[in-house]
Amino acid sequence: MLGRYLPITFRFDADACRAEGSTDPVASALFSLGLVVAMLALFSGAVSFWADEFMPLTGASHEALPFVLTLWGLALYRVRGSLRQIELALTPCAFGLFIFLFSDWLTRPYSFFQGPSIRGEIFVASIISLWLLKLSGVRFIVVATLCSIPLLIWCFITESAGRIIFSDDLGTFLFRLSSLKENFPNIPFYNPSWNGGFDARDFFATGALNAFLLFSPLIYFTDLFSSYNFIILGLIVVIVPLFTFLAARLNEESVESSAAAALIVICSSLHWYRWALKYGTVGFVTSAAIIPIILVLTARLFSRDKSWGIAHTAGLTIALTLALLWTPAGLALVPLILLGLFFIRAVIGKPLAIVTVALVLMINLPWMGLFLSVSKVTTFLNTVRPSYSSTYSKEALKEEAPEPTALKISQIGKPALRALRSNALSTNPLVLVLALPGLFLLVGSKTRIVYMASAAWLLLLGTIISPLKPQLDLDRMLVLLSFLLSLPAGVAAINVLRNAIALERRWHHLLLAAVTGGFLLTGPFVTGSIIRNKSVEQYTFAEPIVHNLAEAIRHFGGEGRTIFAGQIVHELSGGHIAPLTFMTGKPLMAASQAHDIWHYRDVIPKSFRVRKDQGVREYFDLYNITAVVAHERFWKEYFRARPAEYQEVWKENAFLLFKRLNYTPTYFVSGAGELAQTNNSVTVKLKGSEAILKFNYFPFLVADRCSISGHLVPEEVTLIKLSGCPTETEVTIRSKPGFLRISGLWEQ
Amino acid sequence: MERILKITLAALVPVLLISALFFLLPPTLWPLADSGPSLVSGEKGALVNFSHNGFILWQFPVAKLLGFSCYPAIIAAHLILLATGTLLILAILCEVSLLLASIMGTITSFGVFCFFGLDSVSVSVLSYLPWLLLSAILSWRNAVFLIVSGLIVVLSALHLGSFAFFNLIIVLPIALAFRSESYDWRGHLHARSPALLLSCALLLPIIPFWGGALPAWPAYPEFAHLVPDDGVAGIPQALVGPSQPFSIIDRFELKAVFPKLIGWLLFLLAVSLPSRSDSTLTRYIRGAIFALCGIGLADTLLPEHLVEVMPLAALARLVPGWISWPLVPLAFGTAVILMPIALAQRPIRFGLCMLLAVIAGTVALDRRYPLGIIFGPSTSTAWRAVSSDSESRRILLSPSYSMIRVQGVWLMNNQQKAALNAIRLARVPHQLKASHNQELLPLAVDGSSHTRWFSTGQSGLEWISIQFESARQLGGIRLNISDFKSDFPRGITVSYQSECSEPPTPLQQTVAVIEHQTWQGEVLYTDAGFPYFGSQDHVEILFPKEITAQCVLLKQTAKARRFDWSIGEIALLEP
Repeated sequence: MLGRYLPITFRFDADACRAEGSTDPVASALFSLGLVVAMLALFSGAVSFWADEFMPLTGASHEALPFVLTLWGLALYRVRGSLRQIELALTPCAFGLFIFLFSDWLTRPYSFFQGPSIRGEIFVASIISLWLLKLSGVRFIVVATLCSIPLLIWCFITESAGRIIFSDDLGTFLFRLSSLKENFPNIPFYNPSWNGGFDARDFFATGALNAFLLFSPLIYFTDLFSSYNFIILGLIVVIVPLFTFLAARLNEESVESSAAAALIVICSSLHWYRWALKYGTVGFVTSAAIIPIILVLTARLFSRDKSWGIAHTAGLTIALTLALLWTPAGLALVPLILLGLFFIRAVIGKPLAIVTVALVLMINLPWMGLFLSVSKVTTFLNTVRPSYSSTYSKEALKEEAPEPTALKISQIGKPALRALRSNALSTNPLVLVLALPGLFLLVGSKTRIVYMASAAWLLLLGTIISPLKPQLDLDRMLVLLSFLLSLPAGVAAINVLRNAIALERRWHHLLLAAVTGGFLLTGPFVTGSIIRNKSVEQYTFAEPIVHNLAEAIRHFGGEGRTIFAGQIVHELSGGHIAPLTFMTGKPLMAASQAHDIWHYRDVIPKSFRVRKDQGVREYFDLYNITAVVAHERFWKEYFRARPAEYQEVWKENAFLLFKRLNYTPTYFVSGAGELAQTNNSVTVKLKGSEAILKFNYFPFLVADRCSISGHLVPEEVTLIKLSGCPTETEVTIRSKPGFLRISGLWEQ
Repeated sequence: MERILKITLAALVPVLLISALFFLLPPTLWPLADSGPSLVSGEKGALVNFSHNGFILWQFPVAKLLGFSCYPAIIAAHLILLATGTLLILAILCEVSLLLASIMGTITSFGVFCFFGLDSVSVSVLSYLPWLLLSAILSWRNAVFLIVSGLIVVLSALHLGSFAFFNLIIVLPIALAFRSESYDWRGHLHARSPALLLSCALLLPIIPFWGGALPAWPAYPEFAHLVPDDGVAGIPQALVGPSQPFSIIDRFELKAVFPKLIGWLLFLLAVSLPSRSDSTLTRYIRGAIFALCGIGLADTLLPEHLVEVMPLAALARLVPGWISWPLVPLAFGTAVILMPIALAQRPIRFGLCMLLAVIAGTVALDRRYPLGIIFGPSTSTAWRAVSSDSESRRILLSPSYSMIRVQGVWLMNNQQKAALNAIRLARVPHQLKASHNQELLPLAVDGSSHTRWFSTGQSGLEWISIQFESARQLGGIRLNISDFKSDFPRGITVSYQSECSEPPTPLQQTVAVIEHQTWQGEVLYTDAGFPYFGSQDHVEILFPKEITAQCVLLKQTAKARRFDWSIGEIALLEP
């Protein structure tokens, strides 16, 4: 299709290089090779042979330009300027793999294939793949894909050694899934188990819902703390390749091409595993896994010559809904809306297509409205702090850290190139080299267009727009891009292998097939090494201290809340402490249980801290604190210096647990009665008609048979005030139902 | 039936001969004979290799199955397994007469024993190979052999862990190639796939449970090292399998031994030139031997930074459990046991080759290496010294073995070092003499480590000698180079004279105390008593035993032209 509009012909088949007539194979090879070299130079900057500074080839990207221009000039000279005689050929593009193999690319710190010794594995795998190719044709890729999954499962199980995966947000996701298990579909809700009560609404922004819905059978029928590892493992090792395989098969690619795509997608990039295992962005991973299916189904929707049945309707509706539950996915899918307008006739021509669109809107508009009403989306869009990458280190959490400023359009060149290079370096060279020709090899012109448009859009988001809105973490779109391009790369890889068979053992095709097979077969082992925590991206599991601390809080926590003094981010086994409420069965307090503050912020507000001991005591009384966990030196020394008030009862590594002395626990500031709390409500039985409770007040709270309002204690704390309550009668305080909170949006 | 009877009778030849050998050898040659129940009880036990310091978990279920209770019997059983397997291949596949096949099988087994001796890992791995090869090739002809093939895979995987995979890597290409002459380039496995699939399917689930684990690692500190550094940055790490925190395989030992052996093997193979009468199997086997020798040489002859991208190093990183054991001995051993098949049609040449191989092996190796390891002084001495002491045996069966083998069993006595007191030489009346910069010698005893005596470069001929006023008891000597960290001696020898009239020179006769061909660092001990090398810039030389010396001669024996040999301060270690 594009060949009609561009002067260069794009034609791919097994005999591409032997084409006669309209195109010149030599000129095409020169052009394609030049393109690969240009790409490498752009991605790489300075290039050396074998290892850094071993034998420098170019000192900077622009130094490769003369070579590239020479190749292109030679190509043009050969066809006497007739661009139509030049085609983008697969074989010369695939030769780019040799450049990646023998340059210093594989020795750079964040390269997916971490060398230099990894070349040995690639050489061995090349020989094996050539042998297997001889024995069984390209079918060995199917076996390799099937074998990769148990290998990765074994790697994960061995590495976890029975520990729960806990790295960064993975702990928080465990908490979110546990909360959803108990409360879905009544979300958002009021959760009193953390910080005196908070609005549990982050299921929408974080994408916890898509993982929850996808794994709901496992979540509902098993103990979540026992099955959580399997959910993450299933998502990363099974769902991801399975969905890519399904997407490829839906696009009518061969089984081998689909298997190759599935194999490449589990080895797409090192950054993919950074987001999946280290940062624990489960929502992003789930959405990304689903997007290939959406692209392929949408392409089918746009095709006039392809049928659209009930299964397609259901498939696209479910897939789109699940993907959109991680809201930035909507941004990634913007090209589909534009292409939908372009191909509106084809869409209208299918009766069920209208049903599909209607279903998608009907299912998703209500929760999107709820999301807009309960989340401070506009506020978030106007902040500039990126949510993950800049805050992972302790250094980024210094109090009063200066706010970074968003860049202007004129300043984005360097950050854009930096983001592109950083992501390209972590990407599997198979994707870098074969995805471009692979895009043209996809079955169906609409699939090609949808894939190309999405790829271009994601590239734009990840490079140009990302520096403008760092809080959106749009550099993730480049990770998603390399993930999506695994499918065309898989198709191209199989073509390279098939060429070796079809072209009767021409040496260069055999060599290409060998090195392609080498990269393909080595990939799962490299992924295995990442999962075994042998890469530069380290993730963590819950060490025994997590369980020991939970046990200590359960034992010594008392009748009130336990507070984490200072600020805790990743100090406990590298993850957030959110799931501790489920592990301890106690209400807890911390500066934040999740990753939503970007500067150092002590759990005790400044207005209390300035009043020294008196202020600290007041704050603890105000929230009914009966035990304190301290891990920061200042607070450890503070509590140790006051043995009359705080008794040290437990210690492990940096964590100390103190029990409050001389304090009578009560959840009532004023009034009296009995009180019980779950993770979505507070139930009281008052002795009088009025009371002030030591729980945070929110305007969306309701109380049965009572009037509920806020009681401002000092300026920073608003507690629940109940009035007009019946005595000795149970009164339950909980959040309004979600649909009433949407109506609040319209009222606003 | 008659054929089976004849084969059984023929198999008795290697059984009887190997058994006789093991009964006739004197018990002193079996230092491992009472090496503890863990080696024969079927439980996993840590095993360290004599020559190259590999360190893995190992067990002997076959021995347990047969009720063997001593180490030599286990080795003998595996050698018999090897001999009978070779006999069957020669008789069935190569159609050699049974008598000749049994003799060739026995000779092959003896050859393996000569090369590997009590290296139970190598002998065990190799012993399954002929059986697997035979059954894999015949599995296409007969379903019974398919079952046998699967059983051997399971049995060997239970015994060898992930090393069973080594046999599969060797056998499957040969077997598939042998049976696939009719393949075209687009050929498919068709009915030939069951053996491959069955073998892999049976083996793969076993490997994670058997091949992945490594023995308990003594609590060496992070900066420790046990074997000479290979000169390449970083520690070899398995991709998905477990790895040790630092190198344990003595690459220098491997490089010293195996190129010679592989070279001889290639020479012998070249002597028996291929002919047109060679069968297909012979051709494939010959190709396999060349390939094995090629990758073996690539692993031992090339510079280390290239070795890491060679096939054996890559395979070691790929397969769980292989990183702690070098594959060169296995590649070489496999080539050895494939030799009779390659030369099946020429028994006289085979006999000649084996004779030459044994002679060559004996001549080419010095006594420390495979043959000598078993019968040579250092290992036997070590084992005799610890045979009754389970604590010492625990230390010997650890990665520290490499140090003990090179320097002696005295290293296991960690109390010796603790009993020594350091006395600055400046406090003792003495005279000094040096090969270079004589005028700088006072700086080595001036009480300051900021000043130094130094040679100009290290050519291997530098020396410094000390004469005391009277003979002193010494347990070691410390040459402090604290401010000159790169200027440690690359190799050092200490010798002494009980009585002397002046500081000796290398030309005078002295009694050697200790020789460090390459200085690895001071000897330190973990809390549990496992020795390891500390930093190389801490030059503290311990003596195997206390000496009474009036003169001490320190000779720098290695070359490092860009670095001086510096001494900031000399101290004596006295009991």
